Amino acid sequence: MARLACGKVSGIGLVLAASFFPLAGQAENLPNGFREGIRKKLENLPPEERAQAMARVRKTAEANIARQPTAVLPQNVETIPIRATAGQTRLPWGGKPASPHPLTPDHVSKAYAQQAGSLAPAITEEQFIRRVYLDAIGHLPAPADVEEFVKSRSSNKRAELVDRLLSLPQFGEHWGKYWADVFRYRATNQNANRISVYQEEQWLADQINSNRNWGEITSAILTAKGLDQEAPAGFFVAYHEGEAVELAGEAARVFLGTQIACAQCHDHPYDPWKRDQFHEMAAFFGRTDFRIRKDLMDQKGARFVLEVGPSLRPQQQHRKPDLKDPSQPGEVMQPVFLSGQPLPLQTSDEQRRTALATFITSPNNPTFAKAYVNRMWYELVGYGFVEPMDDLSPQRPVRQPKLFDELSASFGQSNYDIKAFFRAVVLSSAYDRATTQRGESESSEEVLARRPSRLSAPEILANLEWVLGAVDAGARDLASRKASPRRKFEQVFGYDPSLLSEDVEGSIPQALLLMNNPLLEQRISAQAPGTLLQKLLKTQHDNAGIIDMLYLRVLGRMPTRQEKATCEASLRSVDRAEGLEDILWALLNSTEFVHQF
Amino acid sequence: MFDKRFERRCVMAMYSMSIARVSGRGDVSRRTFLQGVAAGVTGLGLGLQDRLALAADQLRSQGKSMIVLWMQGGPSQFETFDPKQHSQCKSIETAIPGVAISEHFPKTAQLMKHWCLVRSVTNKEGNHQRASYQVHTGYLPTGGVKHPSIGALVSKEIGPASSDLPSFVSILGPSQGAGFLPINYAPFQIADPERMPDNTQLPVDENRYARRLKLLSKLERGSFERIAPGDVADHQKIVAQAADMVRSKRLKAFDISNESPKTRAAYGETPFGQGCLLARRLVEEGVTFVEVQLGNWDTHFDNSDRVAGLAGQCDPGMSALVQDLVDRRMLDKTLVVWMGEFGRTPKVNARSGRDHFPKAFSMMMAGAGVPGGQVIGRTDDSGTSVEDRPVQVTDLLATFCDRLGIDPKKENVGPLNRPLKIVDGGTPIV
Repeated sequence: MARLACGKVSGIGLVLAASFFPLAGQAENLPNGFREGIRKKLENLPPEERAQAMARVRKTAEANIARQPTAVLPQNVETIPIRATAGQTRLPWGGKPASPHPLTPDHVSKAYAQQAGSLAPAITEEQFIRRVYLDAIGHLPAPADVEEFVKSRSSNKRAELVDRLLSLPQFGEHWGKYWADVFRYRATNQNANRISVYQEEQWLADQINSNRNWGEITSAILTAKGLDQEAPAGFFVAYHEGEAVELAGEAARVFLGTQIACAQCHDHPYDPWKRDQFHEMAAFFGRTDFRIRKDLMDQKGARFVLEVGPSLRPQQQHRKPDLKDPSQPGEVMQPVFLSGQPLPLQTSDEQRRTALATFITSPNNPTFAKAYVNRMWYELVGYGFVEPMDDLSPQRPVRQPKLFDELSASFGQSNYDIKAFFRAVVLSSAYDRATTQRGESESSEEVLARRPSRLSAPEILANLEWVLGAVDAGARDLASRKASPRRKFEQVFGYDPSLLSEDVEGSIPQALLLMNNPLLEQRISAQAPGTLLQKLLKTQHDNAGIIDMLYLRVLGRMPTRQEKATCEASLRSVDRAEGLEDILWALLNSTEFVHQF
Repeated sequence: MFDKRFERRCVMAMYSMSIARVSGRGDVSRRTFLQGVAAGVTGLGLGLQDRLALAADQLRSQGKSMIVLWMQGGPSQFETFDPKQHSQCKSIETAIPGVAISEHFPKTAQLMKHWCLVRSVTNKEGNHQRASYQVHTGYLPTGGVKHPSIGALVSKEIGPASSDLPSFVSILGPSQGAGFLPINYAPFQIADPERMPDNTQLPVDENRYARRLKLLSKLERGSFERIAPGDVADHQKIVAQAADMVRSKRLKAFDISNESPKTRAAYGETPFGQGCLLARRLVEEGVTFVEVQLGNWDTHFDNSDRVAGLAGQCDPGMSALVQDLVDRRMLDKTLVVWMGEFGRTPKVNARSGRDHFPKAFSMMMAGAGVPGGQVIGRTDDSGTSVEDRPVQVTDLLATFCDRLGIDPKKENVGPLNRPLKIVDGGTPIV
């Protein structure tokens, strides 16, 4: 009897804690009837058991608060009222962080200059336009654009260029692919690549192009429910088949830059995360489900119909497996956010996920902005304030901590404005630094310079098509029987974008494709109608001009004198058309072609 | 038996001294070698260099290799090799009296005399990525150091010093990479074992191909090399390997259409079955390490049906592979391993599935001198915990090394010149 009573009371634990702690002082905002029920249960307990139960609840609450680790947590958490009710997506948080600078290139440059030590040399205009095209829209600039940009005397030309790129639909498409990969590469479901029913790339692209802010996008992903076509943001839940533990680990990693997944089975070896905390976080997804709707597939004749949403068993709870005796059902876990904010056990799937989205994207949670800023800084500037980019562990050294804090605060202040952040960074002095390769003998200052990184699969494919014409359409040789040409290409060239660039390596199949693919060879040809070389041979009579054009097209720059000499020498003893084909082949197989730098 | 073992140890000792000469980069053993020289170790008759070269060649010419059948997702031990009362299938007797396995593996049951079944693997990682990483590398992922996988380690230790075929091939899955080891120990991935690897036909005649390669290597000396010398060097290494491979006569090892219809049918007309056949062909042609993946063992729902389907692909493939290796007298030199990243819960969840369970699960190995027909370790009646002979991941990796004649305590140099043992701890279990 006593055991039963305690079990029940621990279930309502932190709601009761309201009477002891200002943290949870919002019990009157709970759904109607909820508080009544608790009161009744308490009243029904014999007095001595009631006191015990209260003490237990108090202890749990204290323990939860005392468990707060430092550094990766919202700072003003104690003052945040918990008001998670259905349908409420924004909470009145009150107080904002001390007035951060607006998100402008000037402010970023200033903050960067204060923290950077000695700066790497600035890059040329030619290098800038290649770099910013690749970062903004994922492919090389046209030779004419390069020429015009380099010649232009406008003092505002970089800003004009960046604003133009930001207005193109390719900006969202490029970053949509990036984020889809971030989620896809860690998907539990091995078929995630085939869950194209969600059209997640297009959805992400649309959000980014319409400049929906990162907080709203995150909330949409975390709270999505419904059938795939109606709720394209449901891809995240579908990738993990609605598994609470996997969703929690990934949500923390991607949105908070916090690696808690290993605490699923044991306390984190270095970080302060405990196993309980992990499962309390998982409990936010404890009533989430993922279903393949076979019934609707027949009805609609669709290949696949997927649904994400609340579990069909309304009383379902996330349980922490009993490691000693896994045949036991395990302890029911209450949703408690990593910073200590609890939610009652009786909350619905919608309430839980809405509350989680609110906690994560709260302006009082600097970790959310930091995770984004660290990742984007890595992608755009070429190094992370913390590396790996998705592990803001308090144990890891932080580079330029003041700059990191300032930028994150500004990003938060901008209401997580994706385009404003991009613009401010690429037009700042942090962005146009020359690249050096990180080596063991380098000093700590040099380590902070941008490093060369491999282009992503969509970028390489876009550049190939840019140089050779569309290889996507009807490209039998790039295609396998099952996958579209693009997917197939991505299987060969794709990589997890959360990896450090030095961990992303080339592979033999990649080399084989670029060296030997029969379709590419047809497009390299100077004879076949409509190819790049055929056109160039028609219009350009001197080899030097063609070599310039090939370099501009393939590498987005002019050849150096020595490179030009090597190319011209190679043409001397061979058929001109064949020799030019060989040059084009060599440029497509160069290291430079597949790198951002 | 004793003699053979002794001989192997001797070769091992000499081999570890020879490393400095054989594989150049990244070996702490160089220190051992230098100490040996400094201490005045000299040979009788043969010069030191000769003896070292001899030892290395002997080791490599032993032609040992390893095939891992990787059950991605974590196969349920209860419906494979550790049946219990609560298993969602029947169990059947095997060729070894008293050893019963799941009814889904009738062919394997007949070949149990070659397999050593370990029912007492115990671990703590229940997350796919982390556990896969750990089982493949012997280390927990730390973020800072990218550890080389067993495929890369084995390729480096006993792979041919130079080869026009990759020494590490991964079929139907990514496997784990070379980590901090040089890029030529990274897995060559085959997405479809029934087709030749894509893009392996020369696009132009051989002379012109050679001319292109020469031009490319000249142009790679250009302005980008000053920005990214390391990337250019790595890229050139891969280009050279790819070029060697497509011009190699041994490339036809990848073409399983050369096999008889009967052989192909025996392996099962599934990607995994044909992948096992390709693994056998590659090992026969001198490839050192092959991993064949069978995915989708992550049976959080419909465990029973899904495992039955997967076992239907797995059983013919692994059995035909072992039988084929026996028939070709290759099993003695080929270590075959069946395992996944963890097992599954004794408790069936509300969706008729089983969840992740690293605490007690099973694996199998055969060949390379592993005594077959035995079961190592035991779980309790519910399968909840290991009752006898707990086996850690590092024990398994140490066993693999031991069977292949690799010293698991040998150190490679990781980032920041940190020496890292091939296997940190662990004791061979057979």
